[in-house]
Amino acid sequence: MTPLVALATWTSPVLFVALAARVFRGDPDAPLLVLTALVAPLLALLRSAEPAAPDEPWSARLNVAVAVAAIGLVLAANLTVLGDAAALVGGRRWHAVVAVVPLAAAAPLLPALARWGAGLGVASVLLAALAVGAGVGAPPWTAWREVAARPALAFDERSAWVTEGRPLLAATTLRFTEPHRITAVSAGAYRVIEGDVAPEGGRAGRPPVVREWRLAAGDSLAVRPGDRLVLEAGARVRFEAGKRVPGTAISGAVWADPPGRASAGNVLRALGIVVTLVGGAAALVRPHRPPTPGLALVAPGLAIGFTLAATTWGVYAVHAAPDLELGGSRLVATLLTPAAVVGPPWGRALTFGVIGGHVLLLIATASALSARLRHLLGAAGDDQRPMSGLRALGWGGLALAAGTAALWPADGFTVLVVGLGLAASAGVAPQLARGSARARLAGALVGGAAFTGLLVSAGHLPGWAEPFGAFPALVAGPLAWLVAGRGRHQVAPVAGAPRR
Amino acid sequence: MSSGAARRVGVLILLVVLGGAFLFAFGPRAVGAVRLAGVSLLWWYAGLVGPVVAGGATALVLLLAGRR
Repeated sequence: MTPLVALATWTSPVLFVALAARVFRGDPDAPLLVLTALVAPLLALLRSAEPAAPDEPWSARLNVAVAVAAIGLVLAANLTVLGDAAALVGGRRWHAVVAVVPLAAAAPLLPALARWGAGLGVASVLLAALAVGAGVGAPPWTAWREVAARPALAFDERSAWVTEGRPLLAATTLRFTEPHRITAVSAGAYRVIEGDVAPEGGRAGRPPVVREWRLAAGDSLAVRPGDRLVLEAGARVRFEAGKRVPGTAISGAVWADPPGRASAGNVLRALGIVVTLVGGAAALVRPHRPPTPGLALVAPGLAIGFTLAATTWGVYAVHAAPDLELGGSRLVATLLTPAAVVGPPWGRALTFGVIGGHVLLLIATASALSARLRHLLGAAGDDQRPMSGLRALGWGGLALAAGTAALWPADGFTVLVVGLGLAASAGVAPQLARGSARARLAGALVGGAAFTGLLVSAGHLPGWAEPFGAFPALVAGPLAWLVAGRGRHQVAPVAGAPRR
Repeated sequence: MSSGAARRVGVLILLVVLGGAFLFAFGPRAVGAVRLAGVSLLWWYAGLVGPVVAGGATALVLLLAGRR
């Protein structure tokens, strides 16, 4: 694999929408996620090309099993995102899965796709970001400054949520921080939970009361600060222009600089992001050939272009329409940014163009992942030729399994974190320790077990331990490294000594 | 400088770039929240300075490695 093909495993749709969504929401960890998403693959490109120490047969098999699981999860995360995107533009999840899985399955048959697909995909999202920037009429730093100066992230009077109302793609609970009049566009039952959420800066003074209203089309109901409105999937409502968008940052200043950014929990989450992404990239982004001078410049440029396109996309999205995340998948909501900025019909065309760019990125990612898997299976050096025989069939099966998993709604970024974290904990960390083959096997087993245990028990962990559940590699990776390093001094190299 | 040494220096630079983001995000006196031309220092660093330094260092090391 050249560095460009290796990078294609990283420049994937799920990472693009996850970066854009974090920036859009003003999450405390967004800046670190953006920088780590860029630095992680660059670190992997700089890793020494020296071969890893030989493994015992069981250890080698475990490595391949971990890699297959991780690659399958990364593929599923990307297919999940394209399923969400299909639902966002009026289709069904399975439409996207049925259309894209064959492309992912066939990607290894055309290895050039990894090179050209990644380049074209990144170019397309960069061009789309430039087009949206032209529509906004400001460079990204000006857009950022304008959002940060807003007293509230409010509904625009031209927003579809204000003019004609939009249907909710999934059941949603909206929390209000100021009085708001909601108008039902579709008849149905609307439930309001009053008084159990503290209004801005205050305490919840009213005991919770649940009221259910049956509204006809055109009827409206008023909610007060602290109320929660429970809406079923398919409900269609309109909001008031100029009122805060429920669920977003309370103001532009809070969006720009979330309070409590330096809390212990956020520091742990940031460390979890770094361990997961850097470890995951070390497992997947593995070039096996030195770059040509041209590629040495193009590969980092591709990573920078991809990351900055996603970041500016998120800034333009919140600048144009802070209400984008209402009522659908929060991860892919920013894909509707062109429609909010440019308006129909060009906005919709541009949205479809961006989704097309994501399909290109996915095909390139699939092709590069298959090349990585082929190398792990011991067929290094032939990634310029199409995959053939049983391996192609096996790859098709993996793509099919990932596609089947993507039929169920899930958070694509969470699936990506699981895939990368597993590879980091049970694959990369034991190898980094450079212990004996047996110690590395023990490290991989312990890392994998700790990772799985934390992942399964994530919902039951106390509040302070939540980052360990969200990023299990934060514990499992160092644990695997420690265990694998215990055998370091037992295998002092002796010239001519027979290997066991 | 040998290819291996160049790679090690490159890795060190990238780790320092990452560490800088931690300093801006979680450092004392909320230094990352200070605004420069209306944008916080943290975002200037994570969105522009860090990527340019990291990308430049990587390109340079890959160029050196490719020549050997």
